[in-house]
Amino acid sequence: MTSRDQQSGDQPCRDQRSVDQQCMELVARGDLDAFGELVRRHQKTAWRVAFGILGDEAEAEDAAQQAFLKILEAADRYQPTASFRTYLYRVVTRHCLDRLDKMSPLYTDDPPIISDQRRSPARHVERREARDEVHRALEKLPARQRAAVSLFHFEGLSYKEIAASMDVSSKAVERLLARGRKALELELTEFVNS
Amino acid sequence: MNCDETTTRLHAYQDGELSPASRAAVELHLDDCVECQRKLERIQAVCQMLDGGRPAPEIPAGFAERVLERAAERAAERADKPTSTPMQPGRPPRWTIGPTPERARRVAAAAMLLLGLGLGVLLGADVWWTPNSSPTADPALETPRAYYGLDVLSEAPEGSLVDTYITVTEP
Repeated sequence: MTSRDQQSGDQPCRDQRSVDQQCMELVARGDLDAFGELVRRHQKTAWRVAFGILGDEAEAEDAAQQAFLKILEAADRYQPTASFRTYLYRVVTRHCLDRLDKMSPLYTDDPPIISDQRRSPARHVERREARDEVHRALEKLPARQRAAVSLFHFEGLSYKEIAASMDVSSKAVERLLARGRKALELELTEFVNS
Repeated sequence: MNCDETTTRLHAYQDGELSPASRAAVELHLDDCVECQRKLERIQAVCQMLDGGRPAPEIPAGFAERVLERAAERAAERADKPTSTPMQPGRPPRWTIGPTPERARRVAAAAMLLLGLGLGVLLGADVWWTPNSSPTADPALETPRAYYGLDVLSEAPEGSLVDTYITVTEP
């Protein structure tokens, strides 16, 4: 179930928010058991978001772990203005983007989109599934475009939620998605046309 | 709405992020524009591929345990430092509410400032509150020019030729 699906405000959703909030209150008082509960409840989300942005398993695990540790250290300053899940998206996304900013210059916002000419369309179909091609194409996207695409399509966040997670405006999210999809369209031409 | 305006809104339209009015305007244009319809179809094709999902691997086994291990390590590191706030299971973190050296310095500076202001008010109070008091007892010093020793600015400063002339000619 994506976040967009969960916005219907059903009872289980409210219960989950309440449990997360109680856990955070306990964590703010130094309760590591409550922190463990939070980690177990949200580890898959953190991992998925981190992998969606970083595209590397080892990097994603370290980033997701660091994000949880940041949440632990800032627990006493946590304000439950939104759901814990939204807060988690924000912390993980920002941590991953900061990480990419500090990494190699390969991760710039405007790298050239270079198609791999060595692979023929026929070999594409033979050797790789469409999903693998999506994965490969996503890795070529600039970090912020990849983050916006990942949060929208794989996490089901709205523009507003993505904007909050990435600390940008909703209009900027729209532009990032448009540019990202345009680049993906060029990368995935064979599949899009078929 | 023309083609350029429609093109900039197509992604938000596809994502259901437009207001009802904007959505209606886009749809009105799409009804008559084959080119924009094709652009929308290409966007939809990319979205369809993306919605198929990224092959994200399963979360590594023991992830939560490793996070808790690191959290415990950090808590232990903090506990070793005298000014830290250790996090321990079931125990609230320690807080430093009392005065720190920096805070003490700031309080002392503020106290000195207030003391100086207080003394100034006390010393100047009698002059301030006496209605007919004059800062000068000598009538010769009643003008500001005389009081502040600015005789040099007068028409006949003491010791000048004019002053000497006046002294000599006046009876």
